[in-house]
Amino acid sequence: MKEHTDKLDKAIQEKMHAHEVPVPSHLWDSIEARLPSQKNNSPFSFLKNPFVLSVLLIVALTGLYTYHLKHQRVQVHMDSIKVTDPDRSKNTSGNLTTYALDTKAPKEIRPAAFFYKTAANAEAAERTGTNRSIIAPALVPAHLVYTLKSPASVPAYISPVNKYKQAFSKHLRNSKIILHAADISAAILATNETSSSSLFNPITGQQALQAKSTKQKELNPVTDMPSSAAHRQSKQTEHPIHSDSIGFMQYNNHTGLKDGKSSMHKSTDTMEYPVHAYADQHANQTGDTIQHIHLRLSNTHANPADLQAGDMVYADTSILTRYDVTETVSHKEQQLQYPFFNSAYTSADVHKKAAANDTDLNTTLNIRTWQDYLNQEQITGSRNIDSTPVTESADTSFLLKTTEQTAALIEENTKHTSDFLSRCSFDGYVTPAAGYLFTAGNTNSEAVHGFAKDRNKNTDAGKSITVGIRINYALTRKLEIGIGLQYSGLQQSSSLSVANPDSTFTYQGYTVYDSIYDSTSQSYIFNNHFIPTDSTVMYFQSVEVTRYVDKFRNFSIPIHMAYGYSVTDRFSLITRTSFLINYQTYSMTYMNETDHTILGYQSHKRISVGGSFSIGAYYVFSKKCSVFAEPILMYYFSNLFEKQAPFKQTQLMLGIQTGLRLNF
Amino acid sequence: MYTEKELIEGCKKGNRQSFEFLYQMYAGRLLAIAMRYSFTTFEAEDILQDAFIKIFSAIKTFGYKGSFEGWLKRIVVTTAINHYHKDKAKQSQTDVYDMEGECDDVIDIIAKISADELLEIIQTLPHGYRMVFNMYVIEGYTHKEIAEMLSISEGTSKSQLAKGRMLLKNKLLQKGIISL
Repeated sequence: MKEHTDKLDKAIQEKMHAHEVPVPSHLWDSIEARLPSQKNNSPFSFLKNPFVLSVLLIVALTGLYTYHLKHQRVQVHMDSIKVTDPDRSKNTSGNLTTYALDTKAPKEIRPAAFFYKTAANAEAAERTGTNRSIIAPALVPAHLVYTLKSPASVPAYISPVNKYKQAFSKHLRNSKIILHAADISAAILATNETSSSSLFNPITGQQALQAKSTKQKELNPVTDMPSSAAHRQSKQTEHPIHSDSIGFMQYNNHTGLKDGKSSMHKSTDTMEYPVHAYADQHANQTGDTIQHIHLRLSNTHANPADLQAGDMVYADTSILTRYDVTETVSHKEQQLQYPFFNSAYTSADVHKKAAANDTDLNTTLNIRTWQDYLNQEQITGSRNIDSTPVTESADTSFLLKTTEQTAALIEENTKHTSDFLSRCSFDGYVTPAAGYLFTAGNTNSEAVHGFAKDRNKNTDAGKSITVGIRINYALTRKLEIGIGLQYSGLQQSSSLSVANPDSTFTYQGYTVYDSIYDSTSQSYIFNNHFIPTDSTVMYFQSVEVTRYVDKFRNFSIPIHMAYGYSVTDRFSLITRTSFLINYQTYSMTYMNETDHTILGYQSHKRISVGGSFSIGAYYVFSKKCSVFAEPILMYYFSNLFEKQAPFKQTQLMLGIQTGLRLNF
Repeated sequence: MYTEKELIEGCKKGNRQSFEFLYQMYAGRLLAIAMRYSFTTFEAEDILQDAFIKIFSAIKTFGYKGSFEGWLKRIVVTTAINHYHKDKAKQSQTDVYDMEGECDDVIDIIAKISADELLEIIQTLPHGYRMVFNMYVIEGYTHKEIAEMLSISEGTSKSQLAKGRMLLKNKLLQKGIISL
């Protein structure tokens, strides 16, 4: 019987093999009409791929950063200031002591700040042979700011450090500008012509001589009384008192701070200050045009003759105290001396005093230290100009004040576009999470809903892992936005509690079957691809299939906004919300509940959207590196764009996002 | 003339002309398969249309792991099965009575009639029998596979095959008697 059957089957098989029938001519037209439109071969069609698009976006941002960095780097010109040991060139002549500047034994120093303002004074420029420029070459490198953290005696520095850290742009941090000049006086003698004649005190950040420049009541910085000489001069000239004025300071950043006792004059280490910031702030206040230039070296020796009555000199530095320039010069009918250290006075005062006392200026000048100046206290009496060290209290006060001011100024500076990418940071993170896949029917069919409900009721805990990178941009100190790339996977098993729920229902679409031969079970496993169409077909569910394993892979572009709150210098709280655009691949393996034999697969790809919300904490390890942990809730919406699909499946994940943040 | 591989690659690139050539090359054979699974020529044409749309969509996934024609045929068969499920309500069972006749006679008859005539006879089989008969005898699926695809048990598949085979034999014998 079996043999006969086989013969019959074989005969039919041979007969029907390669059997062809004539095809009606209209059939191709019908098929062609239903074919999707011709594939768009646009050269930019690859941009439709969300991964390519996001990668391009990241590359573009990185490129922008690199470009920006390159073009915002401060141009630095290196010159030299050479100062020698004054003891070897000390010369006492009469009542005056002169320290000649010796260039034979150069010693490198770093002027912390040269700041200088002047009234319109062409003569001064001609005298000095310099271009008319603001000199503001030195900046505060962040690493120097950090060194300030160590002295316990100056705890107040720690607070501004954070501000520095956040506010400093990369170029400011990295532009450790070392100024060299052949002569300190060369710096002093550089001049400029600007629209304003006010002098900006780089130490205090105040408009020291604003009274002059604005033609308001001029105060004698020594007496705090109106300076009659200056006042007279301001009246005599169209411009206010001529003020070829120079601010100069240099700072010791170690010795004076470490032990809290040492004088600041004993170290050759220096600290630099963000003069640019001062200059910029000043420019903002006065409307001046500020140029950051390198020091000119037109003179190699101090030439106070280039200064004139009304000039203002600020000096505060151990170096200058030791290497002060004290030369006797003749200006008009009077001998003038310009001590460049620990002093804040006008030459008008010098004139006044000299005229009144007719004595050696060196011993009769009223000299105010910076501390005095800051405290608006007057020191009266004679004092040797080369023996007035800056007291420690003065130093401390000075540092505190300037540090705070610098922080404020630099914060202001960060508003400039040049600091754009200093606000950027990179995050890398991983998120282990528990996940839950929720299936719902997408049709009116009760069978579909019953099927989905049954599966939801019998689900195991899903396992999820998310990894990603993102680039962040701080809009403010507390608010940041960002974009990135993220992969998220979820796997979850479920089963049917009944052997065969109403297993047939209709949906719009069809399933392309493909089969894979499984050598283990020696059978074909069918792979079904769901393709939505307008036509309605029947979905059928095998009675054998009672167990499912769903796998989701989401390749996402997260766009986030975060709000942070600093609890301490190192610890911050943050809340973040993200919008996710996903390219989602989905596969479902269905198998026999009894022996878990794989019976088939279904797979699908689609675009979906999602969102996440997290609250967490950041801990700052260093200025470049932080770690964070954020409990996070992620939700992937169902296939919103596929109304025809038989099921809607949403994913919910709850995990802890941990990662590393790298700052620029 | 294009080779089969050239046509496939052309189709994978979305070339409409390649697809038309492909259609012209295989439409006759695939329509014959569709007709075996359908009652009418119209239904067979519907199946073929659907099958070609699927082929066009899925050809990118073809990886040359087996015969291309076999892959095409499988798509036509699965499309026909979908149609079968769709029209399940129309199905009716037919009682089958075994007619007396030797198997060799039937084989002789098959040899004498044309493929078109054999197709006509197959088309007269009840839907359920015909599905199983075609899938098992001509396409070579196992009962397990048939059971899975048709959402029936293996026992039902075997039973329907036996009945379908017997009915076909009867019809062939009748055909042979008439012809003779």
